Amino acid sequence: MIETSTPNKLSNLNKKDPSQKQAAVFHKMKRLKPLSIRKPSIAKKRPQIKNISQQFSHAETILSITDLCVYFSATKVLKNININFPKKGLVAIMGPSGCGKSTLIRAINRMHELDQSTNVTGKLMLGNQDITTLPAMAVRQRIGMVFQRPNPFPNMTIFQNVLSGYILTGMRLNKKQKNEIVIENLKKAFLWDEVKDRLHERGTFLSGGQQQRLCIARSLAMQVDVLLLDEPTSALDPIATTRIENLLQTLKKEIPIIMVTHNTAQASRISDYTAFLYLGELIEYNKTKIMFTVPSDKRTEAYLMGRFG
Amino acid sequence: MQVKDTFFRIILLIAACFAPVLIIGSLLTLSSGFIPAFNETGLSFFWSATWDPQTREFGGVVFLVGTIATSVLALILSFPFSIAISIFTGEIIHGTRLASIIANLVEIISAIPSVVIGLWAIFVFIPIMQQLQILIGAIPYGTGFLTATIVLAFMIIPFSATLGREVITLVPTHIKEAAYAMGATRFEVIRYVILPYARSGIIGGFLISTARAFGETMAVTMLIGNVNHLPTHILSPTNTMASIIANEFAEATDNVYYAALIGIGLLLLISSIVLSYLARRIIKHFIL
Amino acid sequence: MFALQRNATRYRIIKNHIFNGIVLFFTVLALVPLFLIVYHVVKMGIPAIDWDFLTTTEAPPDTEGGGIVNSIVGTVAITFLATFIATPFAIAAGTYIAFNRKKKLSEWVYLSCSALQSIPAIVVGLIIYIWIVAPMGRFSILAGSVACAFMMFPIIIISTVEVISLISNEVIEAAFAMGASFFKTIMKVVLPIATPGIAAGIIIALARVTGEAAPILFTAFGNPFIPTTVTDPASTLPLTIYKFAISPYENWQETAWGASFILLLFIIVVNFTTKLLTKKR
Ligand SMILES: Nc1ncnc2c1ncn2[C@@H]1O[C@H](COP(=O)(O)OP(=O)(O)OP(=O)(O)O)[C@@H](O)[C@H]1O
Ligand SMILES: [Mg+2]
Repeated sequence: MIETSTPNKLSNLNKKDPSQKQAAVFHKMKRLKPLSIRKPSIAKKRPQIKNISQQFSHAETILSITDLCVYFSATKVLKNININFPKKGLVAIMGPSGCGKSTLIRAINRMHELDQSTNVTGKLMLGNQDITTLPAMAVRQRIGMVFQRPNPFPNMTIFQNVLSGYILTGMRLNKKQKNEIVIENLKKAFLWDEVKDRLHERGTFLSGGQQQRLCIARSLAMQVDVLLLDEPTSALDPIATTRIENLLQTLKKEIPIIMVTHNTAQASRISDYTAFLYLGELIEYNKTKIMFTVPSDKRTEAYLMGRFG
Repeated sequence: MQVKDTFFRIILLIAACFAPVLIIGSLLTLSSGFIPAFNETGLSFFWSATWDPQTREFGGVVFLVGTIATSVLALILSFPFSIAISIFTGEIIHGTRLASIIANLVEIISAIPSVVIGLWAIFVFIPIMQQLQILIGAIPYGTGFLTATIVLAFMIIPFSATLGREVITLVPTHIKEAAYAMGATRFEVIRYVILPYARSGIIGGFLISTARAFGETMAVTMLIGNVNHLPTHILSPTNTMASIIANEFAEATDNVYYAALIGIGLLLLISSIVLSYLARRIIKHFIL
Repeated sequence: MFALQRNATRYRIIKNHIFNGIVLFFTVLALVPLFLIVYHVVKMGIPAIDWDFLTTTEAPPDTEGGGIVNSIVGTVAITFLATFIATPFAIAAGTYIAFNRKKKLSEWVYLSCSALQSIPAIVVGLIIYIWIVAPMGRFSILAGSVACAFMMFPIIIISTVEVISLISNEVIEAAFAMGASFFKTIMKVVLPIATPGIAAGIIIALARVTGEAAPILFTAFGNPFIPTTVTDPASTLPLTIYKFAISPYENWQETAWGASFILLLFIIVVNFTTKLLTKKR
């Protein structure tokens, strides 16, 4: 479809259909590329691997997704996603706006169950456990999630925010344990030095970047098996973004991270693997280094070029 | 054109001034109307519990206590219902058809004229209360403090429930999502995130309900028994500020008696305005 | 590191279900009296209603039959007169506030409106008694109307301010830019656009005072006959319901149920139609 549509067709596209619109934007992007930039990489030999999932042994996989489909009412937003996430490293999920990145990571955390009109099918394995058979509450406790917009609990102090997972799920702690958890996780989130003197102030008084690190800290405090981040830096300024990137680079040594990002430069800086989604399909999934130099799919290449150009 | 405009602006200005003038006028009227009674009774008007037109003793305490007690108890009784409706329609089934149906039904409660509720209570609810009173061996008056309070509690549910629902729906989705993403159940999200967040709005709603209960006249007058004594028992008949005025004002021929009732009106006016002012302050503080 | 022991999810889910159950229980229980009231008003009211009921005046106590035409006439007269008294002032005051938002006076007016709204109806009755009934030396439709207008006034002001504030500033500025005077802009541009919203506010205010007996008690006082002038006393439906409900006479009690049915029907219909009308826009 992308190959055949001509520029003057763009104006006829139905603006209401997101996938068509997306294809249009995509096409435009491609059209704007100067040929000179595009040609050399096409000339390179495309690698055969389109999905690196099979290369992770069972022991190396933390999260394995099979045939995941998500429907909003009648529209199928994610189409048979098969992807395995490694125990070590940071996976970036990329793709044009509206391709289903958020939908994918919200499906992992079972957030779609909050909305009755959304349907999810497929199988999710966390380690050795089929988590689709567990209650959503139990799954969410084991999978941390950080959102695009920093959302510390406004009615809680910084201290309580770090402990919010314990407070919310009714887990009792003594004073010593509380202090330990708060200190340890604020340190892990590179936030301790900045807030150690005002632990009992409200979390909402922090700057955006600090709030986002506080949100990371509260997920870490729950000793989650995997950390999901949905464009965690898109609402932040460049300096705050850099701090979060540094933090993630340290954290990924301890905990598997899956991060949605719009920013290809960011993905190339901090991710080990990259998955490229397009119109609800997983197009390509490979080591970031390989994918960014020799993408195996033309659509991946066009996307990366569009961003770089 | 200039002249016409100026004239028009002046008319608008005068109309606008009407509202404060009405308030100040009301306060002045009632205050000056109260003076003859105050001269007679002095400060005992505010602490004497004896109200006897025959002996020209006018103490307002019975009614002040009656109003405060019925309102506070009604508030306590209505609390679980209002909060349940707020949570149910504002969060648990928010956005569904059923939620808007329930919200509309609750609004209808506030639209039912209080005389109709009073009529219903006299012929349907009082017999039930009498049965209960016989059952526990009390004198089956039917009317009385508790009867009036229960009906009052029902009548004030809509004010706090509607406001409660509104503030609960105002809790930002991204905050609720954060809590769900930590693995909290809906109950835990409501308990630890939504209710604390919406707290001041909910309190404001309950203050508005209380202000309503303070001023509610007809249904209470029809049910409270209209006896000018402090209640000795939760079932005994008593009176409120609004109901004594409704009952006795038309027959108050004596000058001091008349002025004393106006004094009760003044007390009721001031307390209602203060209560709803506080409520509004709290709500504004919450929403802004 | 601290050994994390997660709470059993099953127990928490059960707790959640119990909570849902409690919330549902209280919600349903709160609505039970509403259904009972509507049920009894319909059951007891409809048998009382026939052509005679709607066309004759009230019967003396302890006789047969009797109607409510005097109360209907009184209700209609008082609410309409009240609307005519309150509306012009309220719209003018609302327009003033909407165009002078920043002024201190607007703040005071707004605050006064809130205070006016919180005055109990019975106290309004008292005040109007002192202002009008006592000097005139008689209860009258006029006094009743002024009492109702007193209660409608702040409601209409507030809804007028809200409706005018919703009009986009560009429309108003366009009118000014074309050289229209303030007067012309208000009368030809602002008020015509705001009319449906203001009308809804008036109707809501009207529905509210129609059901009130308290402000009528010492102003229009009640009248077993059809009033002929605005200086006559008059009955209204709520007042009649009140008097008849607490009376020991069976025919009066029956009339009270019939009148309740009519009043309730009127109020519910009015509330629903305004709701539908305001939702469309
Ligand atoms: N609750 C919903 N109901 C219906 N459609 C939805 C809903 N949420 C998302 N969609 C649609 O699903 C598609 C995927 O949305 P998603 O939010 O996953 O995109 P995304 O890749 O995260 O985009 P972005 O980069 O803009 O965040 C979009 O076309 C969107 O319009
Ligand atoms: Mg997204």
